[in-house]
Amino acid sequence: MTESIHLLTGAYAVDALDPDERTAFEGHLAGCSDCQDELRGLTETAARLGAAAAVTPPASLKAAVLGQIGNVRQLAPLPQLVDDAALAPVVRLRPGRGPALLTVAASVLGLIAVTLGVLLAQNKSQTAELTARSQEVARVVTASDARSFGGDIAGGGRGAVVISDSEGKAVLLASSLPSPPGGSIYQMWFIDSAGKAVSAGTFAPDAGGSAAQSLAGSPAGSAMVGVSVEPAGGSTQPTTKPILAVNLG
Amino acid sequence: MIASTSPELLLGAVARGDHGAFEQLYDHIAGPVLGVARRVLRDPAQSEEVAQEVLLEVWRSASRYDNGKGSVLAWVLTIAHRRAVDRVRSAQARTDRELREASRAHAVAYDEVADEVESRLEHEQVRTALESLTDLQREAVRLAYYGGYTQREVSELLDVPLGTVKTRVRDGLIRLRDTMGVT
Repeated sequence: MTESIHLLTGAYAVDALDPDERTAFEGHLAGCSDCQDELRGLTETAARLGAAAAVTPPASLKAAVLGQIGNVRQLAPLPQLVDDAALAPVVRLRPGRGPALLTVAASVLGLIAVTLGVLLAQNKSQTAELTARSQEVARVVTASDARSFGGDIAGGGRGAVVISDSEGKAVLLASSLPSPPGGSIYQMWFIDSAGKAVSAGTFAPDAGGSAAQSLAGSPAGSAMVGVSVEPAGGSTQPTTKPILAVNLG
Repeated sequence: MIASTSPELLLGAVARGDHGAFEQLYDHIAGPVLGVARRVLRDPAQSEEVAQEVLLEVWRSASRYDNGKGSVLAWVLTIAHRRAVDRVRSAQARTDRELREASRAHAVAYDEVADEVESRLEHEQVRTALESLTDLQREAVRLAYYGGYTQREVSELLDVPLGTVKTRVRDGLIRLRDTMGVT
């Protein structure tokens, strides 16, 4: 909520932010109604700049697009229930609001905002399960003893692990994750200081490459959280080099 | 009814899978989408590829449009601009410094390229509004929006501090908003 992050509305409206800045600003935006209001007007303004550049498209473009829509499945509407009920506590997050948030870096706040959008975008038919999952994620990241740890994803993207000892849970947040190769899936691991890995469940990122995932089991005694690509169904031990390794401490 | 149906109404029907409504929506948005892609990417073949992706994305994600966040055209052009700059920036990452140098030349030349403007009136309004900005505001907004440069790159191209670019892009857009009466 510093003055300088408010100033990024303009650059955000014209896509002039680097990926890290964009993520951090989106994290801020989720909780700042002033910026949301201003951004709405600036986005409309940018659209006027765009409309002024309109050109007459070739007939071949129309034929190509109309010829393809029959093969493109449309997304279902977002489940409103989850939007309103489960994410409200997270969307209200602001740096400096409470002791828990002092330990959550701005980049992680950004990841939280981005990746919780993922929960909304997932299977609309499983609303109850989604609500439970997003509430679990929300409980961990808003816990008074939440601690966050970040790491880079091999090949680009950022990941973070948020741990709450009082909840006894850990949550993985990631953005810009590539889709796992066909027939494989991402698997999360708790790894102790001796290098022993215990599976913490599997997941697939959404189409936008984001994930917000609660890890199965307790983080107690772990020195690291790792994510590796494993055959569908998961493995008992990691079989590939982790694409993300986050040191917990 | 066909000519006067607003993009907002059409998009609702598109979200329910109405091909006819999408065809009408296409007529509203394809020109601006291709125009944005062309401005940022320059290359006609790449611009058409991006425009096609964007138009299919509009079909795919029509149900996700939130009218509380603005007009359909703004939503569509936000997608188009984002795709176009993502394409430019991934190409930049790949070809590294050489392309950066080329980009600088392009930044100087972009304004001299003749525009095939479909809507003269819209163009005139925007041109007049751009003229009401200070030179630095105008160049910062143009390089960022039409050039697809990051604020860091704009700062290098104009040789002014990053913080100055940040504020000029914002206050330039605010001035444009007020001059054009955007609500």
